[in-house]
Amino acid sequence: MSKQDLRYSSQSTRAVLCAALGISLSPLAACTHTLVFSDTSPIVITGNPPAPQPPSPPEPPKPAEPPAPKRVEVKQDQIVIHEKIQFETNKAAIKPESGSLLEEITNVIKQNPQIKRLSIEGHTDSTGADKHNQKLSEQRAAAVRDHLVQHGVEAERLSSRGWGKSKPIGDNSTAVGREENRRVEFVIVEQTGSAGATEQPVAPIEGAP
Amino acid sequence: MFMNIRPALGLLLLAAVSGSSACAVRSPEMYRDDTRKLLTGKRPVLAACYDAELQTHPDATGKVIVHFTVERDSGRVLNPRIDDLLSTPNRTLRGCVLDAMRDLVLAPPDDRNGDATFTWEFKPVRS
Repeated sequence: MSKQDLRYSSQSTRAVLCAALGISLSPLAACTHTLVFSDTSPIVITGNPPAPQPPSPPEPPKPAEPPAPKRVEVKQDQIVIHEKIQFETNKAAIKPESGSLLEEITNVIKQNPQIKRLSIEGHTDSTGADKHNQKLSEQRAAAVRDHLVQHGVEAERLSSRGWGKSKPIGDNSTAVGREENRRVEFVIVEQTGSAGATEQPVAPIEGAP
Repeated sequence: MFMNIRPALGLLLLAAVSGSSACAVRSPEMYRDDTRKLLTGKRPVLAACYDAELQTHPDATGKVIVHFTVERDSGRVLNPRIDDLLSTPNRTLRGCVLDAMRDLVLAPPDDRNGDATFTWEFKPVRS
């Protein structure tokens, strides 16, 4: 083998070794490489929303509440009140809790213009002196009249008087009877198409002696 | 001359064989598709999670974009994280995705890490 042959042989061997090294290292390079990838197509998840609630049936209409019983009624010859006008004991001062009742009485009188004249009459039970009872019944009737006038009822339609204990409607020997006797009445004296005065007990009165 | 080259050729063959057997790499497409198959296996879990969310929020919908790494050699899915800007703000749906991606393992593992981005889309079925 000549020197030139030896040189060629050595060069060939070196080339093969380099190739072998390259081949062996190239996959190693691939192993350390990080692959970045992204999937543009989404993975779809479908869900089932709850079924829509059926519209609730409309609530049945509440039964109409029965109308409150009238506290004030116009009768043929009187205005009847089904509640007592409250006074301070032994006085003619009207208690505040009777304000709404008096307002209702005022409205009824205004809504009934056919009532031309109305007599407001006070009564007491038999307890106490006659003179005192007479005066108290007059004062209480006058207090009611004044209240109605102050709230818009024409003064000329109203009059007041007291009867003291002289016209009882209950038994003065019992508490219940005395309670019935303490009252204020609204007597229709004159109304359109009616000529006579009528005097009938209408409303009880509270707080008399 | 051939006597000198023969050992070198043997070395070359050995290197080629050893290199190829140490690194069984997927093509990028295969890596993506295999990872997608792995994720779609979690569909039932995510559907149940989504149904539960729809019970309280019937209008819940949207996409959740998640980045994660598939670890080389083990195939484990690591470090899943939500793309805040592109994903629905619904925290429950985000939680559904993160929970579903726990303990996912790509089999067989690849010899390279995979930095992946996938999108889950949540849609209610409208009758």
